[in-house]
Amino acid sequence: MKLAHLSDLHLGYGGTGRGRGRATDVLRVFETALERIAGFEPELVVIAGDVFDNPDVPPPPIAVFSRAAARLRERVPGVVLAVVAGARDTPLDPERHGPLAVVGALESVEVATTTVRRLTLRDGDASVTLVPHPAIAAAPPRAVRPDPDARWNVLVIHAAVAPAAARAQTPRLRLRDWDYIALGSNHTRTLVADRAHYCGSLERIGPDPWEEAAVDKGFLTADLEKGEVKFRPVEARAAVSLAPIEAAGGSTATVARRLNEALAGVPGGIDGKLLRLPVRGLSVDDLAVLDREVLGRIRRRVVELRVDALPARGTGP
Amino acid sequence: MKLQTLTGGSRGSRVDLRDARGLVAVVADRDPAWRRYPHALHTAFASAGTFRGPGPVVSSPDGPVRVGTPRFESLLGRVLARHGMRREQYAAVWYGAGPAGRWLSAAGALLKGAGSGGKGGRRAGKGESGADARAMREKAAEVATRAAAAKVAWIRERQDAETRLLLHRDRERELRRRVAAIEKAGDGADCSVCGRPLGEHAETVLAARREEWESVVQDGKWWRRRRDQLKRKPGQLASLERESAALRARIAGAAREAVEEEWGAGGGARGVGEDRGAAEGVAASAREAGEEVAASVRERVRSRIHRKVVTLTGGRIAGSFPGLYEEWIGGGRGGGEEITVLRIAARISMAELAVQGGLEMGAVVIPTGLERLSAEDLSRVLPELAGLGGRTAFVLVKATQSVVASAPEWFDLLFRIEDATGAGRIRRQRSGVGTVRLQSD
Repeated sequence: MKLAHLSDLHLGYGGTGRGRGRATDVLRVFETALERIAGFEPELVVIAGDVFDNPDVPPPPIAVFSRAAARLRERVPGVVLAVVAGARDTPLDPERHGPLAVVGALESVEVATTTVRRLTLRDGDASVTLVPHPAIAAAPPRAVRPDPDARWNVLVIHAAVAPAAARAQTPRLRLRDWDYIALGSNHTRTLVADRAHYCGSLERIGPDPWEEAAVDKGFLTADLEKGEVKFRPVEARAAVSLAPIEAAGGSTATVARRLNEALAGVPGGIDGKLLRLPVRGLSVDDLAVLDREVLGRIRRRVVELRVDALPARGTGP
Repeated sequence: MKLQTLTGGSRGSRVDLRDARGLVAVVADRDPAWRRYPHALHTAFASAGTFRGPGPVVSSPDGPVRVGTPRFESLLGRVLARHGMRREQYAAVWYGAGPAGRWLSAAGALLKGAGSGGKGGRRAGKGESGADARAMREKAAEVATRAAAAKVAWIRERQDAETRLLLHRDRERELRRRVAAIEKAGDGADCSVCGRPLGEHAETVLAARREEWESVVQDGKWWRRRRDQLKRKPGQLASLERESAALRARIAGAAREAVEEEWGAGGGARGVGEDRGAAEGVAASAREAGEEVAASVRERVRSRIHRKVVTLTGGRIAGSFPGLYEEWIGGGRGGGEEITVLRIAARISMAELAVQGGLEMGAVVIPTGLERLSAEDLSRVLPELAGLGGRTAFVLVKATQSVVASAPEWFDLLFRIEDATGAGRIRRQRSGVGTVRLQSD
């Protein structure tokens, strides 16, 4: 039993933002991931929520999903794509249908949007339990149990893992009940427990993509018979987070010089990357001058620039 | 003082906030229904103890208290006294009441209350020994000298840039006239040196003058930028002036305390004329120092708000911030994206100061604005608000459906106003990502 585990695709991300290419990034990396998954020839591909960036995404991301799923089906006949809705896929109004209702109509794509759903594969030998965001965020949350008759039990769930001391009403999952737990909602790949994994998002996205500047992005594949789980990287947008540029005691020209020196030292340059630039101790007015004279030019070279204005040392937060 | 219920006037439904935490939104796509809630809060608070009717309720050690009742006033009075704040400043921090100037005065009061402003100066003054005081005066003199020198250098550079710009403008006008004259008269144009017709040299002279004109224009642009740049006070000078003001404040504080020790806190005179004169001199000096401290506090509030704006926008509007800030405190009421992000940054900064200073607040209410933000800024604002919600009782915002749908994971609780025109039926809905516990046995 071979499966691939993806989550937090956020197709449609950056669609209205100013960051050039971010909308294209998430679509490109998803298509790349499905192409690589086809080479692994899994019987099951699970997506643990947040397939789309919001429930009102425009048609292009839905079209990209549909096309990539069709190509996967052509290359791996019989593969099942099992998808659970994340918080981002779920419309606020429960009477409305989100974009997953559309992709759920595609051949070999199975979707759980509001309630727990069970799929049976290999003539009952494998069972896949799909737990979407509304089912686990509801009060009280739905109980989730494995299929006692199946040899392989896979759980796909969009949720955060609470600490052991969490409130008693937080639903419990017994690890020994499942052969693989595919989690979604955390953008950083994390091994939560033996057989329980967050695969993380495919791209560096969200309010602070630099948090994962030094972390590879990608998806997981699992061979349940061999008990093997492997991480497969994809080429996400590179993120560069510079050390703070010290401005105290220097003029704007000095800061600009220090900044140029720091940028010149970035391996491979900064062009086309996500750049985070902390500046320490620069006054409000001097940062305004620096922005007009220098940062505008840098902004044109990178895909996303984030400036952090840090207080001078010893002046507190 | 946690806000427990919010009532939308006599026609609005009650919002039960007793178990609210984190980031809470009242979701309404149209404003009228939502506006009743902050309006009702303001009406009750502003009544100063004379409010009648079903108003908002806060918690207290003695049980729920209605805002605007004498019991609430008594509770509030103790909080205000503890933090040295006025009631309108409290309202500015709590639910954003009043104009920008009041917000800044509230932030200033919180900054001083947090022990990093005037109090800190006075504390430093109190323990000063004679040797310390001398060292401080010497340091103050040195910093003042450096600040004066930096100011002279700045003014000289600014005047130099202004002069050079004017010279370039004159030269540019002159060259433009000369080029136009040669173009018009051709070979018959006069030589500017000897006055004879240029004849066959006209083309060469024209090309040379054009080249010179272009060069002067380029240099002039550079000097214009330099002049504009020098209009603003250099950061180093501002920093020296701040340091100088702080040192003078400490010296004045120490002097004032010395006089108080000598004369008693009430200023009871011992009838010595020269001592009285000295005390008046010190009082004047303290007043002057007080103004400098106030200016320093204003600058620090501005810097805090600036840092927050830079965080929320990724630095996108760092270049236009000084002008935007001036416009805002000058009463500019534009509802644009940039002013909105500035207002939200100011509210978050004030609330953070309140948290640092331990001010008891019945949650932070942000009545409007999120829907005006760009998707990019919104993606940074919501985590900030959620973080603030974790450090206060909770943060209550008004949000449209599309704002919540764009990042539901940051919200903990939603109140959806389903009938915006009528009585405002409200549906309570949990938000955020669900949680599970993994059990290894």
